[in-house]
Amino acid sequence: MAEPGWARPDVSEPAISIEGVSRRYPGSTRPPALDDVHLAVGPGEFVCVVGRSGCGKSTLLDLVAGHQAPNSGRVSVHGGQVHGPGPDRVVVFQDHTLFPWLTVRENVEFGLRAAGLSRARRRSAAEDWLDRVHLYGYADARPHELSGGQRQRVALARALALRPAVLLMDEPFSAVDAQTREHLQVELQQLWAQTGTTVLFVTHDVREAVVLADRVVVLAPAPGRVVGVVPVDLPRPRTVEDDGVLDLARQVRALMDRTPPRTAVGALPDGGSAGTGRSRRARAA
Amino acid sequence: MPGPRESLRAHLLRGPAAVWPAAATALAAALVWWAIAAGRPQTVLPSPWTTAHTVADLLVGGQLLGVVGRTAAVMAVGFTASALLGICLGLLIGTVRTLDRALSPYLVGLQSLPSAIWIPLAVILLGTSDAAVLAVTVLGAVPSIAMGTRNAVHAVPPPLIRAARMLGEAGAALVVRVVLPAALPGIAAGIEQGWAFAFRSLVAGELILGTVGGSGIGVFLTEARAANRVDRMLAAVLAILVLGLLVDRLGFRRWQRLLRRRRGVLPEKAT
Repeated sequence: MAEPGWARPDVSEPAISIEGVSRRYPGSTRPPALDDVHLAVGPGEFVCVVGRSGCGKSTLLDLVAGHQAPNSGRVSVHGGQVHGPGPDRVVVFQDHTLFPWLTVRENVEFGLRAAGLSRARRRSAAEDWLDRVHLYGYADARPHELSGGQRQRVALARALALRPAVLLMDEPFSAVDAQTREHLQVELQQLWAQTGTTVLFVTHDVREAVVLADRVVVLAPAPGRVVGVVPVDLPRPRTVEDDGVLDLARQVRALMDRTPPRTAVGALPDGGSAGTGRSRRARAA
Repeated sequence: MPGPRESLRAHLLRGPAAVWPAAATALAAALVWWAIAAGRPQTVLPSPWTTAHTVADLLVGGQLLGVVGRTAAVMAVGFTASALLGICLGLLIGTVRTLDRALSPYLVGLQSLPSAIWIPLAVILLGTSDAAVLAVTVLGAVPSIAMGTRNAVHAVPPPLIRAARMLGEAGAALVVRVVLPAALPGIAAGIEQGWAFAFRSLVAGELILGTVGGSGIGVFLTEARAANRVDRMLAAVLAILVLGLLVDRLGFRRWQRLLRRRRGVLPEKAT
C-alpha cells in the first residue's frame, strides 16, 4: 500500500519545539489555556492536536504562528525562538481568509510578492500550485465564486507556495461538507508527501487526526495540557473509513473522555471563541 | 453567474422598471410647479414650460454648458485633491492610534461645521480667487472623506490583516496592499458623502465669491437676478441638479456596485 515518497521522516531534531509553555487569559481567573506543555515536532512530521473545545489547541497553534506569546516557556522553530508571525510559519485557518478583491491567482501570489519574487516567477509558482490543488482553470476567478472546499484549496496553495518551514492548520476542513472534507484529507496527505513540509494540524475531529497524523497529541481542557500522544503507524494514504483508522480513533477518543476538566469553573473555559467559530462556520456555509 | 445574453436581457427588462417611478416623480413635480405658477407673473415664478424653453435656449447658446462646465472643472480639481488628502489622512488615523486620538475629535467637529462659514476667511486670506473657492471646497470635503476612510479601515476584518502579516506583508505595503483594498467599499461611501459636501461648499463659495468675477454659477445667478430672469435662475438650478445626478448615477453608483460585486457582496441580479 505504501508508495515511494511516503517514507517515515527523520524525527531526531525538532522542527517545532514547545518547552514548558504556559499561556493564561489576561486578567482572568479561569484556568490557564495552556499549562506546562511540552511538544517536539520533527522535520517533515505530521502532528495532529486534538481535544475538546477550550483545551487550548488553537492557542497552541497561535503560539507557534506568533500571534500570541507564551507567559512562560519557549516556542522555537528550527532552533529560532518565535517572535511574532512570519512567512516561515504559514497558517491555514478554518475561515479561508482569502483576499476577496484579488483573483485566485493573485491570492496565491500574495506571499511571493511580499517576498519580492519577480512577476514571472510568481506566476509560474502560482500556476504550479493551482495545478497541484486541482484548481488550474480557476486562476482568474474570485474567491466568492468558489465552493468552500475550493477556497480552502486556494488557501492551502497560497500557504505552500511560500515553502514554509512549518505549515500550521487550524481546523481547516471543519467548515466544509463531509464528502469534500474526505477529498481534502487525501489531497493534503499527497501534498505533504510531495513537499516534505512539517505540519502541525489542529482539529476536534478524532478520525481526521488519525487519518492525517504521524502522531496524535491529545489535549485536555482546564487547564490545557497534554494527556497523551498516540503514534499512528498505518499505511498511507488513509481515509476515515479504514478499519485501522477507526480502531485507533476509538483509542484516542477514550483518552479524551478519560480526562474531565480539573475544575468545575473550567467547564466552559473557551465558550466565547467557540461561539465565534460557530458563526464563522455559518457564514462560510 | 449568468451568461452575457441572460444578463443583457435582465438589464433590458430592468431598465424601464427602474426608471419609470423616477420619471413619474418628475412629471408630478412639474404639474405641481405648473399649478403654483399659473396666474403668477413670469418675473415671480415662470411656468415649467417657459423654463424648459429657457433651458433649451441656454443649451443652444452654450451659456448653460459654460456654467456647468466651470462648476464641473472646479469640482474635478477640488474633489480630486480632497479625495487624495482625505484618503491619506484617513489611512493614517485609521492605522496609527495616537494620530486617531489626536485628530479624530477635530475632524468630527469640522465635519458638522457648514463649510460656508470659511468663505469670509478664505476671501481675506486668498482674495476672491479660484483658490478661495477651492480652499472652501477642500475644507468641506476632506473631514468626511477622512472619517469615512478611518471608519472603513477600522471595519477591515482582523483575520485578513492577520493572514497578510503571516504571509510576510508589513508596514506601508500592508496598508497599500491589504488595508486600502479591504476598506475600499467603505472608503467609496465616504467619498460619495465627501462629494456631496464638496459640491455644496463649491456652490456656496461660487454664490458669494463669483459675484465679483469669473464665469461661474455665482456670476450667472447674480446677472439673472439683476435682469429679473427667474427662469434663468431656475434653469441654472436644474442644470446643477442634473450634474449631481449624473455624477452619482454614472460615477459613484457604478463604482460601488462594481466593488461590491467583485467581492461577492452583491449578487449579480440585485439592483
